[in-house]
Parts: sequence; C-alpha cells; structure tokens
Amino acid sequence: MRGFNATLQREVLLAMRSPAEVINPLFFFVVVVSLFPLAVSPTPDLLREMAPGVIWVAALLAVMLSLDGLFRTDEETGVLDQLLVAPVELYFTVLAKIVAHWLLVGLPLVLVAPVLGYMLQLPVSVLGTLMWGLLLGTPSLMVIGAIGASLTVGLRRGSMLLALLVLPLYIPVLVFGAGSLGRALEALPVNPVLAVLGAVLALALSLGPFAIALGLRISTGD
Amino acid sequence: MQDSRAEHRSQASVNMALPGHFYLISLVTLLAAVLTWFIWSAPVLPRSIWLGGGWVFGVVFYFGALRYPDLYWRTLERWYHELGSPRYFYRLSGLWLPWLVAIAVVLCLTGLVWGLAFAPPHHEQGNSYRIIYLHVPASSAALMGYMAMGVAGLVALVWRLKMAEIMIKAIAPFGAVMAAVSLISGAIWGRPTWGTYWIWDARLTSMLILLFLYLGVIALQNAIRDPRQAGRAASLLSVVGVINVVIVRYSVDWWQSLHQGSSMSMFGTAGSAIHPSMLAPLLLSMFGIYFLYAVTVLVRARTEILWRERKSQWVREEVS
Amino acid sequence: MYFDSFAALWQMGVHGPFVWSAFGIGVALILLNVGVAVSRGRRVRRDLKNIIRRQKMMQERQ
Repeated sequence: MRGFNATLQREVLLAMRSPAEVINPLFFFVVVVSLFPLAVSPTPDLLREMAPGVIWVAALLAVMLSLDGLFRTDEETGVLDQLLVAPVELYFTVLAKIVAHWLLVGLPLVLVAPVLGYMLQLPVSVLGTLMWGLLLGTPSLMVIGAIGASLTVGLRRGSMLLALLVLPLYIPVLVFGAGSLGRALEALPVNPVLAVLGAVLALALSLGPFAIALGLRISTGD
Repeated sequence: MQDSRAEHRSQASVNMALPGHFYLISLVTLLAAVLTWFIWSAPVLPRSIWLGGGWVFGVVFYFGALRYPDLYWRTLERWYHELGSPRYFYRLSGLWLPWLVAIAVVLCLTGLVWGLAFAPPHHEQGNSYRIIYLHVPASSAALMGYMAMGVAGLVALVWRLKMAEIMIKAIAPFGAVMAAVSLISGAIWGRPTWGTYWIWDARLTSMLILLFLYLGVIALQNAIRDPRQAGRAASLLSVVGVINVVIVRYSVDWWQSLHQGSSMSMFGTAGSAIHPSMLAPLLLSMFGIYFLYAVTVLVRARTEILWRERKSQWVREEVS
Repeated sequence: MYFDSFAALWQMGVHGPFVWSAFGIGVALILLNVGVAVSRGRRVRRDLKNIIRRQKMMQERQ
C-alpha cells in the first residue's frame, strides 16, 4: 500500500502542475456533446431521445483519448522502468494511477454530465441516473482503456491503435450505461442495470490491474 | 526432480509477488465459468456439441488420469514438450496436414452439396434457409476460434510457450475471415427473410463485435516489430477479449430485448427443433469448416515457425 | 436430389440469387484466405532458400 499512496500523491501533484491534461478531456466532452444539436436538429423531443447515447459515447471517447498519455509520459521519462523494478507490488501502483486518473478526469465528467443532460432536454428526474451510471461506468472505462494503453505504450502512432483495441471492449459498458438512462426516461426501474454496471466495475477493478501490470511488463520487453 | 522444478518456478516469477499458479487458477476458473455460461445459454445444436465434447473429455480424463495416472501425465508431458517445441511441431504438422486437407475437403463438399441440393426446404423460409449451411459453420468457427485464441493466450502468458504465441498469430486471420463470411451470409439471408440486408439483430451485432475484436488482435500484432513481444501482447489482448466476448453477448441480448428488435432464428420459430434431414448436412459442413480452419492454422503456423527459427540448423536443412 | 433439374437448383424458387451469391462470396473468401496462407508459406520458404544459398556463396568466397 506504500506504493499506492506515493503514486497517488505523485499523479495528483503532476496533474496540478499541468492542468491542461485534466481540462482537455472535459472540454472535449462538452464540445462533442454540443455538436449534436447543431448537426442533427434542436428539436427537444429528438434531442431527448438521443441524449443517452450522445452523452455516453462522448464520455467514452473523452476517457479513451485521455488514456493515451497515461503511461506514455512515464515511459518517455524513464519513470515506468523505475516502477517496474521498484520493490512494491505493481498491482497497487497501477491501481493508484487509475484511481488518480479517474479522480482528475473521470469525476469532472460525472459532475458536468447533468448540465449537458439538461441542455439536451433530459428531464431533471433522470439526471440522478445519468450521474450514477457515469459514476459506475467511467472507472470501468478507465481500467479497460488502461489495458489497451499498457499494450500500446511504446508504439509510434499508438493512439489510433488504442482506439481500435479498446472501443470493442467498451461495448458492454456503453450498452448498460446508455441503457440505464434510456430505461429511466421510460420510468422503468434502473437499479438492476446499475447493479450490472457495478458488477462490471468490480470485475474490471479486481482483474484489470493484473492485466495492466502484465501489459506494461510485455511492452517494456520484460 | 520436484525440488528443481519448484526452484525453477520460483525463479521465473521472482518479480511477481503472487505465485504464478495463483494467476493460472483464477484465470482457469474464469474460463470455466465462461464456458459453463456459454453452454447454458447456447441454442440446442452448439449446446449438444459442447456437452458431447465435455463427455468425451470426462471419459478420457477418467480412464486416463484416474485409472492410469502415471501414463496419462507422462503422455501429456511428452505432448506438451513435443508440441511446445517448434521443431517437433513442424514435423508432426507436416505429417497431419495431408490427412486434414483430405478430411476437410470431403466433409465440406459433402455437407455443401447435400445442404444445397438434397436437403428439403424450410417450411417457413423456403430455400433461402440453405444459407445456414455456410452461415452457421462460419459463425461457430469464428466463435470457437476466438475461444481457442484465448486458451492459447493463457498458455502463452503462463508458460511463455513460444508455440502458443505462434498459434495466436495463426488463428486470428482465418477467424476474422470466418466472422466476415458469417456477417455477409447473414446479411444476404436477411434480405428475403427480413426484407433488408442489415438489421441490428443480436446475433449479427455480436458477430460484428467479434470481427472488431479479431481485427484488434491482428492490428496489435502488426504494430509491434519484435515477434516475441507482439505474441505476448496479442495473448494478453485475446485473454481479455474472451472474457469480454461473454459480457458482450449478454449485453447485446439485453439491448435487443430493450428495443424489441426482430429476432427471427435461422432454425425457424424459436423452440422448434431442427429436422434430422437438415441437421446431418449442417453437422457435416460444420466439422468440414473446423478441419479447414485447422488446415489454415497449421499452414500459417508452419510458415511462422520457419521464419522465426530461420537461423537454426534444422530449418536450414529443412529448406535446402 | 430435391430439385427436379439443375435449372431448378440454380433458381431455387425465388431465392436462387441470395443463396448462390452468399455461397459464392463465402467460398471465394475462404479459398482466398487459404490461398494467401499457402502462397505466403511458399514465399517464405523460397526467401529462406535464397538467403541460405547466398550465405553459402559468401562463405565459399572467403
């Protein structure tokens, strides 16, 4: 756990020094969502019907694009090699990196989402479901995306490849996330769907760091 | 013997805090759960094939491992070493290949001709149902191929077996082609049945995602220059992908039920069992495609072995 | 055979174009894939042969 706290502190400190890394994904999320009314139509009914898919796809893309740099800066500065040989379990280091990244990138997305939802004419009563869904879904997206990021870390033009690897793996989270909001719009019970999102999160958080640690070892040729 | 092996293992996992078999056991448990789930939820035909395979495995395991443990484990160990060594694999696969080609050609031709010309038409779909003699084997081969890739990936990650990495590289291309064939034939079947080439039907959507997963594995392999590293990266991705395929299938089924899409089965209305006169050619073409799959996997694996081992003496003798 | 003639087999009621186009594309893709695998194998073998011959020539010259 020593590694966990140290990595967490380090990540937060680094992000505070270069806030663009944190703000850019959020900005991307807002811009992409606001493109849709311009591209499709500002009709409130149409917007309401599209809103779950639009918000979830935009959040997913924002998370994925932010993950490209998760291990790359560490790899370029040589920190990654230090982490691999450090006498702390890599599982916790990786977990700390993901938790930090989620706090800095994922949480702002969750907090901004209700505003965007309101702008897309979602009724106020479903905004809670939107937040809960994103709260449970974005960490899973982080973990799954980090597996892809760990495998593409040393590659040139890795970001396109990352998208190809990771987007198919994102489908379940997307289906259940947008589905929960869709059910909320039809006033159907959403807790079972949120529970499935939670189960996916549990699976991702428990097994994901193993895969990420292994991916980092593979990518660095260990 | 026992001690040296344990020592070797502890050396191999010196920078892992948890012992290697912890990862192995948890992943095997997960794969077993995945398989159980698949068998539980599958349609009648694949379920019966998988259950039959399970019985065969059980009988072999009982009479092998429990009756004659010494012989069984020694045989397995020999196979492991022989098939794990590229040189032996190259020699053995060279012996198998002509037989596999012959069986594949005979099974495929019989199955297709029987299915196209001799089987009776379907009472609801008429003759258009004959596409299943291509579609079902292709879908099943694509799915089984991905499962096989996951198992090979697990073996490659746990034992660092070079052959398993080569197998993943050999399995992926034909799996992608099978998924594409399944999609194309499914779409063409959809035109007379649903009135359109594409519907976001649960089966077609899952197959599309499977195709994406195959393409991801191939893209990752092509992006990394060092073959060992590319193989290990692809193994990890395919193990993650196998776990994901199950969740994808569940999520797509749920998504379909949410939107009340059309769900016409290729076997006619749900619940009606397929008639034996239609089943026999289907099984033939299915096994034919499996054998064809095995042939292409072996051909690709042999090419890869030759290329990777090109500096060794036996390849020089083999080639010239 | 279920059909009366080869013309009937070709037409399959109204479904002929669908069935035969599906089988045509599918079988073509499969054969193409097998062909690519086999030809790649042959090319690798030939390349290796050339490399080895060249190395032998270099050794003999020295």
